[in-house]
Order: sequence, then C-alpha cells, then structure tokens
Amino acid sequence: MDQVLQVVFTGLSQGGIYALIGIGFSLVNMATRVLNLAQGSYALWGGFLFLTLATSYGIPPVAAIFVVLALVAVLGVATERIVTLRVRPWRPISHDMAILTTLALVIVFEGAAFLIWGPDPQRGPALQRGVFSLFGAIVVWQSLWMFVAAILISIGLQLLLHRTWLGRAMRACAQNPLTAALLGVDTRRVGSAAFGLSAMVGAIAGILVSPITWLDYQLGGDFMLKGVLAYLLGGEEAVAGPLVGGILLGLVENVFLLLPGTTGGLLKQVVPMGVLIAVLVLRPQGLLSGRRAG
Amino acid sequence: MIFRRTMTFPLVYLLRRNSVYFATIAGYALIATPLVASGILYGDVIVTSGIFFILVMGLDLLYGYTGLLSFGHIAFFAIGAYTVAVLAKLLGLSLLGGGLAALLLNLMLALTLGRILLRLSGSYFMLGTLAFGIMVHAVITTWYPVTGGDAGLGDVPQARMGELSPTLSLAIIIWGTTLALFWLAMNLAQSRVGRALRAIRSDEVSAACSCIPVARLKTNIFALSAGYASVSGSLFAAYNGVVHPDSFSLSALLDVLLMLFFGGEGTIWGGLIGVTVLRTLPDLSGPLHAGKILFSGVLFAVIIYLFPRGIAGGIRRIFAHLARRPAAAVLDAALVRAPAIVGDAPVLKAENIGQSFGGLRAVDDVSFSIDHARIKSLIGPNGAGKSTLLNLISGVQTLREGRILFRGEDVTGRRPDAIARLGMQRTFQHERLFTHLSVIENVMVGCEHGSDGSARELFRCALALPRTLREEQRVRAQAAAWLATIGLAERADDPVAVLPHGLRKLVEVARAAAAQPSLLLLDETAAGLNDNEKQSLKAFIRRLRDAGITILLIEHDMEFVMDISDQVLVVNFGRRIAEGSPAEVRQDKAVLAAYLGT
Repeated sequence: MDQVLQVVFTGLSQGGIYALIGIGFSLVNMATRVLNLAQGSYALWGGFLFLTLATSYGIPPVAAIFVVLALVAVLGVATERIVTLRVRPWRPISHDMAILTTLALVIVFEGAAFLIWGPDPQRGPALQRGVFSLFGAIVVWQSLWMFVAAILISIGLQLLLHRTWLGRAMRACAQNPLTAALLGVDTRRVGSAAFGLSAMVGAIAGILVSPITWLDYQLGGDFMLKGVLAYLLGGEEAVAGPLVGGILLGLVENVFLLLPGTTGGLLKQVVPMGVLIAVLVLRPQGLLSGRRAG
Repeated sequence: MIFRRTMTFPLVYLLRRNSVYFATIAGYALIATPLVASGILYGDVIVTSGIFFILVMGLDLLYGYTGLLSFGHIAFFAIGAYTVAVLAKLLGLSLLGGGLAALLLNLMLALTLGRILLRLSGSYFMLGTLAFGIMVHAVITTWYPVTGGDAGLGDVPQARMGELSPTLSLAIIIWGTTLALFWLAMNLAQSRVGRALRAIRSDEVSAACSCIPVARLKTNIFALSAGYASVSGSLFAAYNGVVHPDSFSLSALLDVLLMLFFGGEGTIWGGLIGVTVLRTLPDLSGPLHAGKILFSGVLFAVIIYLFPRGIAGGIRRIFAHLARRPAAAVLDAALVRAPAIVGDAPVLKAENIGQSFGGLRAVDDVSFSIDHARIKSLIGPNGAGKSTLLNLISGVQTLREGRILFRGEDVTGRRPDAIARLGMQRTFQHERLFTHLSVIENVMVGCEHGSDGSARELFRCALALPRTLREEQRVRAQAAAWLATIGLAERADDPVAVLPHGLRKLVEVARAAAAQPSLLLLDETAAGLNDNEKQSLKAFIRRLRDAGITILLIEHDMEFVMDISDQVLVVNFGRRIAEGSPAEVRQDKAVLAAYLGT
C-alpha cells in the first residue's frame, strides 16, 4: 500500500513537469500554429542556468529564478525570430519548415549545452531539501513543489488567457490569425510573447526537476518527448489538456516501476506510447476536447 | 484501340521514362569516380551513401510526394538494424534472412502504426511519429538482455559472395540493392500512384473527390517507406558489423532529414546528392570535435533557410525548360464514353436531406431528383445552403439526415472517394486543382481515376510492367485530347499555379469530366469568367450533356442559368422553395420574393 502511494506521489510530481512542458507546446501552437520542438530545451537550459547561477555564482535561489526566467524568455523570443525569418506578408509561415527549424534548434541547444556544461550529468540545487511523510509514504519536498507549481501555473495561465488583453489576443490568433490582425492585433508580437511565456514555463519545469533527475546535455529531447505526449494525450484545450495529459502520463509511467527487475524500466519507456496509441484509437481528438483529427 | 496509332513502342518509352534514373547514375559515377581515385572522397563514403540513400528515398516518397513528414523512420531504420543483429546472435541467421525478417516486422508495424497515426493531421502526425521514434530509441538503450543496451551489439554477420573479399561483397550487395530500390522508387514516382500521392499532398479533399482512397494510400506508402528504412537499417548493421543506440538517436534522424532537404525533396534522385555531400561533411567538422553537435544543428538551420527546395529543386527547374513538349492531341471524338444507364431510375435522388451547423439549419429537409442526361441548376441567394448541399451529395460532408440514392444505389454516409468511384465527379467553388502536378497531370488523375491505393497497384507501378506503361501512355494521350478540347494543349506541362483563374476553373472541369462520370457537380464554374469564356464553357457543358453526362450546377449568373438549364431547383435558407423549368421558376412568386425581397 505504501509502495502504491509512493508511486502515485512520484507520478503526480513528474506528471506536473510533463504538464508544464506540454502547456508550453499548447501556448505557442495556439498563438502561432507552430509546434515548437525546442520546448524541452528551455527546460534543460533553465535548469542548467539556475544551477550555474545558484551554485557557481552564489546568487540566492529566488533571485536566481527571476534572472533565469528573463534569460530563457530571451531564448524563446529568439526562437520565434529564427522560425519566422523567411516569413513576409506575402509569404506565410510554412509549418513544415517551422517544425524542422525548431528541430534544428533542439540540436543547437543541445550542442551549445554540451560545450558549456560538458558531458557529465549535474545536479541542481533543491528549493527545499528533505522529506516529509504523508499517509505513510515518503515525499520529497521538492517533488511536492513540482506538482504544486504545475497546478498554480496552470491556474495563472488560465486566468491570463481569459482575463487579460494578451490572453484574448492569443485566443483570437488561435481562431483566426488574419481576422485578429485585421482587428488590430499585432500577431507577430503576440507570437513572440507566447514563445517567451512558454519558454519561461519550460524553464520552471527544468529548475524544479533538476535536483531529482539530474541534468545532462541530451535531456532536451527527452523533456520534449514527454511534453509532446502530454500535449497529444490532452487534446487542444489550451491549459487543461496538457495538465491532465501530463499527470496521467506521470502516473501511468510510474505504475510499472512497481514490477520487479528491469522489466519495469523497459515498460516505462514503452507504455507512454501505448497509452498515446490507445487514446488516439478511442478518442482521436484527445482526452479533453479538440479538433485536430483529420 | 483508338490510341494505338499514336503510341510509342514500349521499350523506347521505357528508356525515355528512365532517362532521369540513368542520368543520375551516370552523373554520379562520372563525378564520384575521379574524386575517389584522387583520394578526396573515400570509398567508404560512397558505400555508406548507398545505405543512407535508401533511407532518404523512403522519406522522400513519404514527404516529398505525399507531404507526410515522419520522424519515426529512424525507428524503422533501427529495427531493421537491430533485428539483423539480434537474430544473428540468437538464431545465427544470415544477413538475408535477418533482413527479410526485419522487413516483415517493419511492414507489419508500419501498417498498424500508420493506420492509427495517420488519423492525425499534419503537425500532429509528426509529433506522433516523433514519439514513436524516441520510444524505440529508449527501448534499444534500456533492453539490455536483447539489444545490449547502451553498449550495443557486435558481430553482425557479414555477407560474402564467392571468392570476393567481405568488404567488396558487401559493397556490391549494398549498391545492387540501392540501384534496384532507386529504380522502383523512380518508377513509382512517375506512375499514377506518384500522381495520386502528389494529389494528396496538394489537397486531400479534392484528391478524395478524384477517386483516390486517401487513408489507404497514405497507410500503404507509409509502410513502403518504412520498408525502405528497414532495408537501409539492415545493410547499415551489416556494414558496420556492430549496432549502437547512438546511430539511431534524435540527432541521427536530423542528419537524415538534412540529407533529404539539402538534396531536394520531391525528386527521389536529389537524395543521392544530399547523402553524399553530407556524408563527406563530418570530415570538415573534424577540427571542431566538441562542437560537432552544435555544428550540425546550425548547418541544418542554415540550409533549410537558404535552400528550402534543395539542390535538386534548382537542377530540375533548369531541365524543366528543356524537357517541355506540347501534348500530342488526338481524336477527341471518342473522348466521352456514354455512361451506362442503370434502369430508368433517376441518376440522383435526394430524400429529405438535412445538415445543421450548431444552431444554423444550412440544409433543411431537401428532396429532389435528376434524370439522366439533364442539366439541373441549383440557385438561391448567398448562404442558401447550395454548396453545403453539394458537399453532402459528394460525401465531402458526411450526410447524417436523409438519404441519397445515386444510380439506384444508396450512398448515404459513404466516403467521397467511394462515391466518386461510382461515377460522381465535382468541382469546387474555389477551384482546388493539384498544385504539385502539372496541367496535364491534373487531367490524367481524372482520366485514370487516381489510384486505388492498393499494395498490388503499388507493386505494379513500381515494377513498370508493360501493361502499366501502355495504360500510362493511353491516359496521357487521353488527357492531352481533353486539354485540346478546352484549348490548353500548349500549356500541358505548365504548373497549374501559373494559369489565370478562368483557365484553372476550366482545367478543373476537364479533370472531372475526364473521369467519365455519370453525374457531374459544378460549383459556380462560370463565376469570374468573361463573356467569351462563359460561351465556350456553356458549349462544353452542353457537349458533355449530349454525350450522356448528367449535370448539377450551382450558378449565380441568371442569364447563364436560364439559357443552359433543363431544370432549375431554387433553395433559400436551406429549404427547397421551387423547382421546374427555367420559364416556370422565373414566374414563381416564392422565387421572386427570395431574390427581390417582398
């Protein structure tokens, strides 16, 4: 029983991380119709930058977080600029080229991280050390924060989307970018803002997860995959979709660690894809509503 | 038999058709041989280029032709490699045995996976395949007992031919396979299947209305390209003697995509350029060592920015000018075959059909029928539901209320390609030609009813059997005759994008008529045409009717409608408000009210 609870808590906290990366996907896709594969790289870079600032430069964690968010937001906006380099009013964005460019950027981020931080895994500082006991299970404080952050950020983004001008503009772009532009929304800037915002969400995920999983330069692709799965599972509901998808993914993955031996580790890799396929067969539009099935 | 006279002897045709194939091989040999001899290019690079060319061809069939970008092919490649290695270790299977087993496994996997993932549209399909690709990589890295985990597997069997050294034997096997698969892919690309694939890339809805079973063809081509990846992977394993997860990672996938895009997608042969150049490049990044990953990422970004069409795209543009030949038009007398009349039932019978969009009743309980070889016009104010009606009849929108009988058969709820195959063709209000095909190829898709997308047809076209080639010639001559009929013989090889709007609409009508339909649906074909064009369109439509084709057309130009129609059906707010001869409708009070307001 304790073991089951343990797995549930681990699943919830990891699911929170997947959800945050998935939300990044959905924000950018909503505002620009681009699927930004570099989403996982922001988490990687966020984690690495935080680690460097907090340990090598000794900046207090809270201050370091804000600096990291600012830096990673720049990376996000830069991504948007690079993706839209060829775009002109008479030459709209080519989605295939955009997704390929972001894939190239994943490799660029990976290569640069390798040059800066080297090949060995590193562990980031925890926001709160230690553990506490809940219903007999041992919970690491940090992993509680991972889950709480996912929930809080989701609520915050939901409010942003529905209560602010920027949020309305993003939703307008999602429905019809041309009409939005004609009504005076600067779609380029809304797109930039979405990229910046989603990069910051990704960075928070990276900062939170780094003490648990450690960081190495290749992790951007793994983060991206988990985000993609969370996003595909959840459907096109901007925030709630990836949140539900991510947490479900975290839970399902960790259930298999209950199995003895190495089988669990192997199944952990295979099962998410199985879940995705099951969802696609039974509910092609994703768990929550959506309209992406062709 | 009418066209027999004009047909080229199949062998000559075969040579002309294969000119690009032979030119590529000759050109490659001509450039590569001196480079290898002088030591600039390693023999090793040439051999591995063959391996990767196979993989890139598979991706090109899928992306360059069908428009589906798969990130999962690195997984099929990995499975191809690991199956050979694992089966050799466990069962002592040879390269051939292991390779065939891998091929079988990959084909089954791709057919299953394709059926599921291809439900997703565009970008989501990419994400799904990406998930698959990374998952397989994770499995081979973790499954120690079988795959050796991150240490990989060694001792992959080397194939040996007679007295030749293993290296030479393998080089011959690799290039033999490469040339064979290259030939098959080139044949396929130039066949009706190739045209159907490019039609799908251009516009799935209009491809379906041209009889192409989009989902089935996509699944089959996905499997075929997975097969290419599998063969490539098996050869890769044999060549290296070891398999290691690093060769199948995300950045390995990026390298392969880079080869495709640098060489030029949509050409098949362009891949060979991309592969060879980029297999040579690692030597250039050598001094960078630690920066290698960064280097390849930046290189990729720069190349897709600078050459979105690839090198082959540029070369092809030059040759397209040289290769132009006017379509030889022949005998348009026998062009339209009278469709078979099924009993004396009306060609089309709609019973109480309806459609709501949210709270809006776009079509409300409409019933009507059309008799054989009649022209019926469908008129009504803007937003009356005319186009929706046409979409429901042709299956573009699934009919949920009411029933449609086409030539006595209930077609309610069928897919558009199934309905089209029964003999119903349509055009669209905003013309939907296949932009990735030339003018004559658009009409050819109509003539040959696209492709049935079956595995059998894929094989027949890839093998370029004499029967297929004769059929191909017949279709081309027929399409040329259709173009001559609408006065576009000179523009046969133009891309459709350069035609003015009016001519594009005409080509669309020709594409639909070329399929020899019994019912032709025309959605505002005359809109935007000038008076002369309208007159010739009118004559053209009458000729089709006289040949026995039944026509339902939507039109706003009342003069046009009253002149050409045998019957007029008037709708407003989704309801049928009048029906009758042009003269009757003109007098009808409800019609006058709808058009003039009361």
